[in-house]
Amino acid sequence: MIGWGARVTEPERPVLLEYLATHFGVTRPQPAPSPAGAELLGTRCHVCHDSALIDQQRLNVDGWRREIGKMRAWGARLTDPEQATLADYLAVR
Amino acid sequence: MHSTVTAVKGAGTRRSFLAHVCRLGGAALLGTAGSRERAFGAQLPNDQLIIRSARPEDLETPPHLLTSWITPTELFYVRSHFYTPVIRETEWKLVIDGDVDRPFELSLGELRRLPSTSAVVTLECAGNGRAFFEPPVAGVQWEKGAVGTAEWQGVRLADILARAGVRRTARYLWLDGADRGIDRAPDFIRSLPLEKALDSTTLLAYQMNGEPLPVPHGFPVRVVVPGWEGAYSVKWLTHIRVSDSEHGGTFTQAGYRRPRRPVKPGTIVDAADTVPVRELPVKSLITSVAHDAVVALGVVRIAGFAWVGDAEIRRVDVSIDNGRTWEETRLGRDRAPYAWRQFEYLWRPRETGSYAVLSRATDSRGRVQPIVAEWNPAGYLWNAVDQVRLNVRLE
Repeated sequence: MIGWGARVTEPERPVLLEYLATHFGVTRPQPAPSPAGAELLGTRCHVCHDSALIDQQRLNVDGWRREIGKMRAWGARLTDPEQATLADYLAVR
Repeated sequence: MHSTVTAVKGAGTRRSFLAHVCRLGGAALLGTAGSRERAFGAQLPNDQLIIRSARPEDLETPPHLLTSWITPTELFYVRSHFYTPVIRETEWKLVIDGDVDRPFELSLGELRRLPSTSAVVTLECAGNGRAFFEPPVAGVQWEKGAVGTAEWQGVRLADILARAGVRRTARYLWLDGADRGIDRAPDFIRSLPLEKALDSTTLLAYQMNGEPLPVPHGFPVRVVVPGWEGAYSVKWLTHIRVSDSEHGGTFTQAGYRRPRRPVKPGTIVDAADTVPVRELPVKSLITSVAHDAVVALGVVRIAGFAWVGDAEIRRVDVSIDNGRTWEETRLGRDRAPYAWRQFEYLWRPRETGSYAVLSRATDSRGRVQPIVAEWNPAGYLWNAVDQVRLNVRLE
């Protein structure tokens, strides 16, 4: 729309996106995946799984939290804060 | 329709998995003797299978490779919950105990000397089609090819149970294989109701398509539970415990269950409101043509397979006009009580274009393959009307 002439300045852009996301369900810009999440994936998940099984999942952050919780019960070595970091990372990467 | 679902990410090829195959092949060689060594090596899955997971090993067959009533062993899908165990043929034994009068053990040689039978049976993973459920659910994101048909040879489970003398209190068999949960993960144990165990086609199979079971398919012995979702057909079987109750473990009480009633997609369902997944629902799969194939204007062979766990396939219809009209297909001559049935329809397009080809099976109890698969939290039993895209061009 900006390309078609809509007058939206750079500072207004995130404000408008946030409003559209909140009220009309437009996808929010995703935050960048965290290096800490990548580190946890490599050291705590790949011990047992190859990357294909993890990459093919289509889960949102709640789905990942549940799945990682199950994996912790099955022996994955993660603290609560690490679980949150890893779930956020897997959901947005 | 499911063809619009985002393709599964991260599906590798067999080639990137070569090192693992070599390790597995080596393990098979170490564990066996004589000419059978070569048989296992030759039957390891080939590089045409889709790697859903290299470890544990989960491999899917691209549907267009399913061209024959009997699936070649090297193209048969592989589903493993945990790492593939290494079993020495000479050390393997099967223990039968629990609610029986005469518990006993069997060596592989003793099992092979018992009267045997064979049956052509279709196996399908409960999660076949999980990739198409929306909202997404966790688990191996199988698309269409976690299904195959083989001739299984072995001993009737009923004969083994008769020898053990099952007590009146017995209701379930707890089936355990040599694979073990990784770290603290629970052991993969399944409960099979006694009446299904006594079905004359329920086998302890040691041969697949005329050769010893390959390691990925359960060497030396797997259970074959016909018509029921594949996880009942426990691989690398070592222990049958007869019991008056279901096993209390994860893979019976949490896994392989679906909601008692239809639920809104995305709902988290309490285990108390679920029932075990058992019979495979009526389903068809188009294997010819391959999805998004380009063919020349002329006769097009539309074919595939249809199956159902507790009845017979009565008819399969196809549609080439987005489901407005349906044409009955010709069913193949090859048939067995628990095996899929091939269907075929020759279509001569009048003009070029891009078409959605649909298939819909109906079974002998009048059940029709649905347009929408029933969403469930673990993504089991996807059986919506199948669909591929066919592009017809002049040349």
